[in-house]
Amino acid sequence: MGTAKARVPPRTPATPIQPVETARYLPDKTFIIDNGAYMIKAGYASHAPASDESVSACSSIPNALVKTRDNKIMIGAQLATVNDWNEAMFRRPVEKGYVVNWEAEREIWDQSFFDGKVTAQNQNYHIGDPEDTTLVLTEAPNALPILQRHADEMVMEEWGFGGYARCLGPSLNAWNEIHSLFGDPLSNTSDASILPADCLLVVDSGYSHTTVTPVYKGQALQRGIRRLDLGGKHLTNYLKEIVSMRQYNMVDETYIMNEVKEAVCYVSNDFAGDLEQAWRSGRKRQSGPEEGIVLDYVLPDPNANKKGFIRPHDPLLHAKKKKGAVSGLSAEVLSEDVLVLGNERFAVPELLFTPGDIGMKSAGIPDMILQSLSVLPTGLHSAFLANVLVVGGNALIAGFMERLETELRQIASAECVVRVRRAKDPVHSTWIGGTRLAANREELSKVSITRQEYQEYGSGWAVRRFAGLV
Amino acid sequence: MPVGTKIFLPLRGRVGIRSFSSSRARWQSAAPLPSSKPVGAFRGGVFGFLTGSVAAGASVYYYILAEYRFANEMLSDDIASCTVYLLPNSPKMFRVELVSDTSTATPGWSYAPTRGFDPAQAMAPTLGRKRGIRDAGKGGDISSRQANAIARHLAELDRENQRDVAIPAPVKQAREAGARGTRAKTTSNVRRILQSQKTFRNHLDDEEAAIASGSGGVGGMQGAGGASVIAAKGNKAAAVRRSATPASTAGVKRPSAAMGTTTGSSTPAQETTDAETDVDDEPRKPKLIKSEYDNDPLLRSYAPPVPSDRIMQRLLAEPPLSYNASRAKPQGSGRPGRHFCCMCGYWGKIRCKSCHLRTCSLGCYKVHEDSRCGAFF
Repeated sequence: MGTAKARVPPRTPATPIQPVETARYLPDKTFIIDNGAYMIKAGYASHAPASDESVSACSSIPNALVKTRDNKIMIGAQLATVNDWNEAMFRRPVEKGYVVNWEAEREIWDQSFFDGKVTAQNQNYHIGDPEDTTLVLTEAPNALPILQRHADEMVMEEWGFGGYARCLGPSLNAWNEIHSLFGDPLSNTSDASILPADCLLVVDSGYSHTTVTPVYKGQALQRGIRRLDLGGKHLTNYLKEIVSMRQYNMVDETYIMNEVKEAVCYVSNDFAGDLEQAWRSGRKRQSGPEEGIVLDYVLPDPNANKKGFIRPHDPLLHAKKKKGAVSGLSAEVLSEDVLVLGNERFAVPELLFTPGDIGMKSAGIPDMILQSLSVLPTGLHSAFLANVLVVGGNALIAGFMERLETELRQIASAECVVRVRRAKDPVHSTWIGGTRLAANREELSKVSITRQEYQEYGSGWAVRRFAGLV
Repeated sequence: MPVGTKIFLPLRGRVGIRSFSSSRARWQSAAPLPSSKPVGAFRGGVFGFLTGSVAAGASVYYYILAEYRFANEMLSDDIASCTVYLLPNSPKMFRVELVSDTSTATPGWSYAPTRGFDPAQAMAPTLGRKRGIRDAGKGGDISSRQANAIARHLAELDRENQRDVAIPAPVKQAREAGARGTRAKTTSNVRRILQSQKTFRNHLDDEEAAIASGSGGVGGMQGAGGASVIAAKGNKAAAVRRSATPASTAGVKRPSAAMGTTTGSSTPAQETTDAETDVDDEPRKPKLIKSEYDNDPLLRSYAPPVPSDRIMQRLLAEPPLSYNASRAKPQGSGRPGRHFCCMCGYWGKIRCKSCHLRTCSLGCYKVHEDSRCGAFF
């Protein structure tokens, strides 16, 4: 272990490389936790930088305590065993994107990472010896300093990691293999060291909020970070509310509605046209299933052990069921509950682009990108607009990318090239970026602190260190 | 005159002829009234009018004077009290507005952010209670009731569960002992964090209060004052650079011009690296195809210059914005708001007269009126 060392001289985080002190001991094993509000993405970083197979080292653990209908409480990874999601209640330690309740978060971390022995199931994310592990933890931008301090204290004092780096989640994406994604000529493949992309505008649309972060050479330009307080949670709740108003009462079925949202929702590229079409097909009296916007979602039936699924809308079947004409219908058809989804399919994700639809006084994502750029030097605008990367679960909604690119093209300056790309794996993209950062030992040791340093200088110093003030 | 007499005289004559007085003697003995001059009546009228108006004027004057004095006293009282409150070292707080959200019951104690004192608002005439309350909405175009309804809706969308449920973490002493075996015992910091029941809202209020009182968080606002300075400097430096160092701007122009002529695949990001003459970036520089047209004035691109390394370092060193400052602003020249049918989600064309919700058609309106409408805006 390292000896007590002299205080690190104050420096700005971006000053060119200082020689790494030999007295510092930063454990070689690196564990990366992307602590999302919905899912924890965690796993060890491999030393060989390989972007494709390293995803298999990443495990997604639901970041929640769940109380099921039969009053059983499940934690984190145990949720994989839950079959009956009806009336499941959630408790999430992450609020608005930041870990607020460490009591619950500790339960989940303990249960997932530190509990028991190494088994085949948890070998990818079991931390046997925190003292010999460097932890890379992500956080959402613009966190409150008090919450940052809590995170540092918990990581270093409760679990006692040997090394620790708290990074902005979006900025880690710059370490990914961006050039191939954007179709640029590969410039530095021969180089052994991995370097972050020069200019990247990361749109992170997650569970609690959507953020826009301009990243310059792996570091976030803090003044350009903007946040829209709408995320996947709000979309699910909005869909739940609409469906409860129009069809069945689904207010307690958060999990099921989330599945419905993931199955049917899409971002419309012609909102008015789709709305007309959904309206017209709702009025048509036509027999047999049809191809159109309106879909049927058959709700899951845990008693019969059936999962929910989509099928084309069949108005005739509905009319029959309404009239109670049971003749000719099988018992299976009669027992199933069907949600008919028309304009709900695209009106819900539309909120991300026009928050004004629910009266929210905020700009949509494309306008937010321009707001973010407006505080940056003009010379950088074209560079950022040509490298817009979308990560986060909402990027998986169909039509999201096309809509974003179209709208951004319309409002951006005509001289600029606008290229919007979705990360190859938008959910795990941040985590993969973390592994690539970890592969660059020199950079990693620049942004991380060791256990000795923490014990010597305390948590206040750690917060200032990660803020780049020390 | 002659016309009047012509008409009048015969009448008189007739009265004189057919007199209805009973006796002639009495007619003649009636004493003539004391003849008053017509001028006197006129004078009396003018005099009476003048005295009346003077009296009325005097009374009004005294009434107004009294009112004025009263108002003056009240105003001076107000000003006196204001100066007391506005004194910087005054121990009293002028106004403490607790965040009026019942969902944020703070465990223990917390700071309450005080809004600044706005004299214009305090002195503004009150336009009747109802209108004042109704128009207190933030935007001005929507009433405060609508704004409250929207805020309530957003808070509802932000919930994890529909109902409030407490899900305690399961108690597991055995596991705790096993897992903690090698670790040191819980420190005071950890215990304090674990026992904290504060929600994000509580933390945010604390933070806001800390920023308002000038000590923003953990050195968070240390460089906040410098941000605008940097911005100004950045712009100025960029402007200066454009004129002072033509060599570097030429360096910016050349690669982009080359990109336009040759491939178009090179990104502006690479322009950035090219413009910055970084030594360590030398091997990464992509090979640009050179042609004799590179210096053609027709092909020159007028892209704004890339900021220098020094400016970028300053920008990167800036402290993060506060949570509220980083929220996206409302759209400047926004499209008009869209309204949807509260029943079916189609365009909302009809507005309900009692609750202001929209419906698309009479069919939807009927359902709404029968079952849903009950709220009053």
